Amino acid sequence: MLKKTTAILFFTAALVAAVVIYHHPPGNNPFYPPCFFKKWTGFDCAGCGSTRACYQLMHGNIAQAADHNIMLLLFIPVIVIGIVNVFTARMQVAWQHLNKPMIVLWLILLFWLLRNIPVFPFIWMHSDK
Amino acid sequence: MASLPGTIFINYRKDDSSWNALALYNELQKYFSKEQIFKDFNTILPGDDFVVSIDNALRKCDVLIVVIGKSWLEMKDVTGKRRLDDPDDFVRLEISTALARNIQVIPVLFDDVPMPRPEELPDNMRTLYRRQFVEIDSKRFDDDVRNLAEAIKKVLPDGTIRIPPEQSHSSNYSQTSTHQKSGSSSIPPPMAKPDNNLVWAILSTLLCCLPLGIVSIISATKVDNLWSSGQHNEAVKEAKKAKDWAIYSAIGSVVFWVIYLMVIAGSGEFVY
Repeated sequence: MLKKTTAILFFTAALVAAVVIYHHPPGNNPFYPPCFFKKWTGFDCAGCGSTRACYQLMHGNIAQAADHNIMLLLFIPVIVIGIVNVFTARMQVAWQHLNKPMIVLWLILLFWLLRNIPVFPFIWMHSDK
Repeated sequence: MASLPGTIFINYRKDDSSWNALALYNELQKYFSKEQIFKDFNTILPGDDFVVSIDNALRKCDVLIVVIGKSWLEMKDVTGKRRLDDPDDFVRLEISTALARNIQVIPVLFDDVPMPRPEELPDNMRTLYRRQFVEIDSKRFDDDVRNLAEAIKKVLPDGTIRIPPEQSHSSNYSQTSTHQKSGSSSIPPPMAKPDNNLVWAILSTLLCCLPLGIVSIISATKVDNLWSSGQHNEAVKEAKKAKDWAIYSAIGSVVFWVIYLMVIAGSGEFVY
């Protein structure tokens, strides 16, 4: 029963966020709050560019989405399978293969670090453009 | 969601363990009322979709006891195929459904049968090997079932159990039960391995742009290790922490956004 409430809350919030983001392109839009890690340090955090990536993704621009936050794009299958598993107890085996928190932690920390190196192969991971 | 409090199903393979299951069924009635224990799914009528029927029956179930006898694992059907490998095998359907629903599943091993290894089990019931099992030996049947009942008692809602006082009629039983048992096979309460809440950790890290998400992932990394090293309570605590930090991260972002919007609106008016 608790799970049902969580599911309703989660999907409602996700839907509202999706509708808002779909109609209001992020980027230099004062409607969206800046990431305060970025505002204070000038560096990208691991989540920087994810709102823009969501916007681009919903408009079918996968390459653009990848340019803003490649990590989010890579994690979408993981997130989808994880959510299906949480709410329906389906896809248990698939989720067991993906449920590796240590790897996730290192991937995200590494991404956080690398995307801030202003040299060619890494600069591409930067959220700006 | 109104279900009978404390319902126990006994899952067994007729050709493997019908006597084991019957003995267990009778003995468990010392500890639980007859209405709480079910041995066969009587709810399946001709013409019913049995997958749906099993699903419905398990809806009312709090504990599934999996009786594992000597030929449970290897028993073959007429074509020579292992029964467990048949996706429509009743035993398998019941167990996999219960595992998927995160019902308490307790493997009960009879006659010194070893716990099946994960690679011996079909995919959708592989997690059975992680469930804490209970061994039942015919020589100390009463004792072993008492331990099982105590373990079930920890899982069921309160007020549904009656553990009878130690019987004094068999002298050797009461002498050995307390000391020997605690050493040889003390049984921790069967407990489902907690979900490490990694999805929420990832979502909050990548979407909420707050370091709290990272804290959530770090907690998630600890859950499996704690669980496999036997620190079950700590694992449950850590799993809750992972979830809490993900929620704080999400709430933090929303609060931050609202404050931010108010400041923007305020400063806009100020400038005007």
